Amino acid sequence: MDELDSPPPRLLHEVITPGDGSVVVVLDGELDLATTQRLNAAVQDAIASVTTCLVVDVERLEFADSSAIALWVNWSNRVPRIEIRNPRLMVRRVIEMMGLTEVLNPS
Amino acid sequence: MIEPAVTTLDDKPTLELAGETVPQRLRPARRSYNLVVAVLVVGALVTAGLALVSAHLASSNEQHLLNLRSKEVASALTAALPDVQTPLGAAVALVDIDGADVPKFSQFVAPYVGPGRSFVSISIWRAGHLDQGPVIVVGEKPELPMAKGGADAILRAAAKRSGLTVRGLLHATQPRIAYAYSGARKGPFIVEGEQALAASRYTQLPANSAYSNVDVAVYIAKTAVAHRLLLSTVRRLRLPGRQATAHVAFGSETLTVVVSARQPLGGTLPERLSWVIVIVGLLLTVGAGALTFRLIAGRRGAQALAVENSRLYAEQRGIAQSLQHALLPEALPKIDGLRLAARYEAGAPGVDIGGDWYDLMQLDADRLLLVIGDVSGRGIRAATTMASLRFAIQYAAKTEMPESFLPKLSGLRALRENKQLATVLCVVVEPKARTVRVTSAGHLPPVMVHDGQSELLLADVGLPIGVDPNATYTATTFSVPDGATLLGFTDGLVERHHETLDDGLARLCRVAAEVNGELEAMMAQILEQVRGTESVDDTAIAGIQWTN
Repeated sequence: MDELDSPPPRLLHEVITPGDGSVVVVLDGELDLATTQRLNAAVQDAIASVTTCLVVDVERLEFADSSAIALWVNWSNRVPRIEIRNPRLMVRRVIEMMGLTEVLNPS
Repeated sequence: MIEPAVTTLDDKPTLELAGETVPQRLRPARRSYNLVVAVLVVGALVTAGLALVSAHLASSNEQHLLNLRSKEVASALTAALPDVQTPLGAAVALVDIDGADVPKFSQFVAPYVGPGRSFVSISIWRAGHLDQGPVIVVGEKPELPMAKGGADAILRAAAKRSGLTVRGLLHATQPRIAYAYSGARKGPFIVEGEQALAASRYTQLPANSAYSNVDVAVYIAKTAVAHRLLLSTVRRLRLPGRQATAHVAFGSETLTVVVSARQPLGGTLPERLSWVIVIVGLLLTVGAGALTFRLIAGRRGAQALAVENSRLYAEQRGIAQSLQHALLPEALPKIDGLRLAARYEAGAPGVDIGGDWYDLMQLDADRLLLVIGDVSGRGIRAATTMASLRFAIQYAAKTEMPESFLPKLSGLRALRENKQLATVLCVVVEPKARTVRVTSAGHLPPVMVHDGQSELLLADVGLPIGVDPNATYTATTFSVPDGATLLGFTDGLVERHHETLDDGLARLCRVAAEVNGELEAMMAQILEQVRGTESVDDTAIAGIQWTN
């Protein structure tokens, strides 16, 4: 039904592998229910390869709803540690309000 | 004092809303099939018109060519007249000069008289003594005296005329034409020649003649009458098909020439052109009709599809909303000293339902539990997870406190399978003790309003349900002032794009402090002013108001 109402929200992502067992996923755009499913499918393998820390760089993320938070929590269960890097105040406050500071480690 | 419990579910969905529109939308489509008929009719009319014009042009062209042909034949016949006149003129001149010298005359005209020659008979008559009969006769006996009216009238007329006088037909054993001529100088003698005609009058034109493509009938009369037929190229009159008639003077008589074409003179194309137009025109018409039909059918299909899509969508949305409403409490408990109210506001049209819910249940004589929750994601999956959580909490709350049952909810299969999170706010209300115990699993804090002031009850916030089965929760107790109102809500109430949650919560606190009236009225104003018209998210809000 998305197509009937408005174009799907746009989200760009990039996966960086520094080689130290960590993976950096850079997000740019809006992360909501429609885009989380595509993003999760796209970075599946990269997340499986993390042996130390998964860094989600969300500095350029303009919007994140509860599905985004759920996705990150889901990722956090599959890696030793997750770090939500450079969240905008809006995203940071959602993480804090949901009591997920200890889980998602916003920095 | 017993207060009426209020639950406001004014947007009950209806499933049959789309079905009614279907026949109305299809009716104009049926009317538009008349367009196909119109295209066919117009095409047929245009084709018929063009074919008729073409046929008319071909016909008039053909008639024109035939008229020309008849005039040509007439002039060819006229040109034959000198062949008759020249020997007769020479003959009469001879007798005028030499007198009626029989041997000399006979010798002169002999080449012209006899079978296979121009004349069957040539005779000389003395003007003024016509009653004595011919002076000289070469060849057969003249038939002219036997003709109706006798020879006198013709020969007298010939004496006065300068040209040939023609009399036809003489019905002897063989039909004849008689020519009488008094010569250029009007001498004392008149020559009379008679030509024999074939009994059938049938003449075959040579195949290489200029007239081989026409049939000709020539009458020695002013009209085409059968008994005056001079010659014909068909064995049986009348001539077939289209005809053209020409008249031409032939001595003192008139020849009527009738011509008809054996093949179209203008060629066969003009004749066939109208049929070509009919066939091509009808094919084009049928093609245009078929195209119109396809276009209309296509549009009708698209319309039907759009109607079906909107019906399915409305149905799906209707089912989802029905489900959601079915999952919300039908009636709220009635507790002395408290007003209870709750509302669920669906998101903007076109947005799937969310996983928001509320619950208000009486735990025992002294305690009430208010639950507000929000499952991440949308649609049926969010709604089913919400249902699992709601019923699990209803069951667990009978024997356990929120801080003890909340960790167990992470084990719910629906939550695990869908990889969802749920934020849950539990408020245990003890009206008599004037306290509330707030336990939050990642949920937004409730707001407390009293005496024109409002504040967020910032309890300890535990992890949302679904993050960690070993999560721990602690309850925070707040005391309740007289006449206070407590509101729990989901983020749809305060969330706006490009704004932090703090901004939204601040707006809620400001509005909540300003509004007044009973719980239900307050709730309506808050929804209207805080949520705004731009909100697309679902919102659940539940409230408790102390009345004493």
